[in-house]
Amino acid sequence: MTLRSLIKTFWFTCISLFCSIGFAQENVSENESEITSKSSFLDSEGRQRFFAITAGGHKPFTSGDNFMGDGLEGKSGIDFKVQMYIYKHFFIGLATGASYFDVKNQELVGSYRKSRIAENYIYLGYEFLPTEKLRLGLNISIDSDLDYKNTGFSTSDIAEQHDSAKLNRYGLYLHYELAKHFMIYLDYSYNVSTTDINVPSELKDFFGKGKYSTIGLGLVFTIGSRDLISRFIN
Amino acid sequence: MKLLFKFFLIPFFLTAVLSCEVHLEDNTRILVEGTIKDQDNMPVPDAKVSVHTRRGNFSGGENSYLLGEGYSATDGTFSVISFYNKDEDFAIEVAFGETYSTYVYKSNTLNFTPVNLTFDLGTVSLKKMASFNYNIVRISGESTSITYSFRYIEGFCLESFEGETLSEYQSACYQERFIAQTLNDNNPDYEWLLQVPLGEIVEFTYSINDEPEITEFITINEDNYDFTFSY
Repeated sequence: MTLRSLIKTFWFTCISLFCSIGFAQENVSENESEITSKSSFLDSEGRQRFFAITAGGHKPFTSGDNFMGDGLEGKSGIDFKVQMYIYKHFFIGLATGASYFDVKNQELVGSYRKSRIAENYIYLGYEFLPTEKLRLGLNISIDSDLDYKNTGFSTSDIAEQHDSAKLNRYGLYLHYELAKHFMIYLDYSYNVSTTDINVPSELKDFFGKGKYSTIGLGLVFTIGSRDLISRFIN
Repeated sequence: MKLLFKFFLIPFFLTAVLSCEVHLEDNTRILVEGTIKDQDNMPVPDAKVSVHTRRGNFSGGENSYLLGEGYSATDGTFSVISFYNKDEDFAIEVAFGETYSTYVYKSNTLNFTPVNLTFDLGTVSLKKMASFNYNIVRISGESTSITYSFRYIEGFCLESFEGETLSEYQSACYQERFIAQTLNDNNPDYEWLLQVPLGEIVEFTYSINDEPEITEFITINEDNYDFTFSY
């Protein structure tokens, strides 16, 4: 089973969990929110959530002396994520998305014009609560699957060519709470893709790793008011 | 019959059409490198190096697909990164418009992958080309005819490889070309242009009114060599 199919299965499971557990706890959640609880930078019972689902767009920026930094230019991207709070504000998440690039130097990467990276990854993170309305999250990918679809060849007879890679992603986000279960987000990520591309030894450094950052914006919907472990303990 | 069409002919047709698509090797890049020099052993900068794969098309001809492209540096060296395709007609072309001759490295890559994914062409010799403009003019009046021919070296070199072995049978490098024509009352004058490597000799042979043939040797020592012959 590939990571992509695993993520699809997890998405389905998560949505099912939203419906079954999240809504089932809604009455409890509302009662809980009325309780004035102790709030700190690290924890707040009243602001605890079970699931957060995010959807948004991003702008990728390539960097470094590698095939992405020298050969590609970021255009746009989309993100979908589901994260589940395991214990308090410690979460695990599943993400799927895509980043789109134009080729700016064909001499360095080959004769094609566009590249799309399909990104699927699992991540872990922790969310801090710096102010009443803000949530600051840090996360890191733990498993991933990247698929580069290269298109725009000199002829339509060459439809596409694919490269694969693994992603190391280090992310940071800010959620601003517009309502109890509705937020907007601004995020930044630094991405290092370790490719599977077979190249001559002198090009290994150039094609071995591709680096790009993203700045994204989007919406966040949350469900539930207790983390996963608390549901079993309490 | 409908069933036959649905289950056999449509899949057959789709397979035939889709098989014309070129599938490049996933997760693979190759390097093409070498040095370009002219006939005086001087480096040739700004020559175009392109990597192609070829496929037959429906009309019986061949389509050429570009996989990678680059240019030689000031010192004549080149290093081109390209996609790779396993194909009977994998080719690397070194060209500089009409200024220099064209060199083509052709290889059957169906069962061949170069060592370290690198095609090292070594030193590629391109010949500086000259325009040989010839003009045959009749001045002797009607009923005089001429039969003439030019024998010259073409500005093209194809080296065909099977794996790493040069196949001389399939190669054709700076071959001799021959053109001949007869001019008479219907067509007394003729003007044409040939591209010939600079410094090469063009052999001009003619016979006026079926008299014995005369041969002249013309050394192409100018970029634009004008040759006028009156009969």
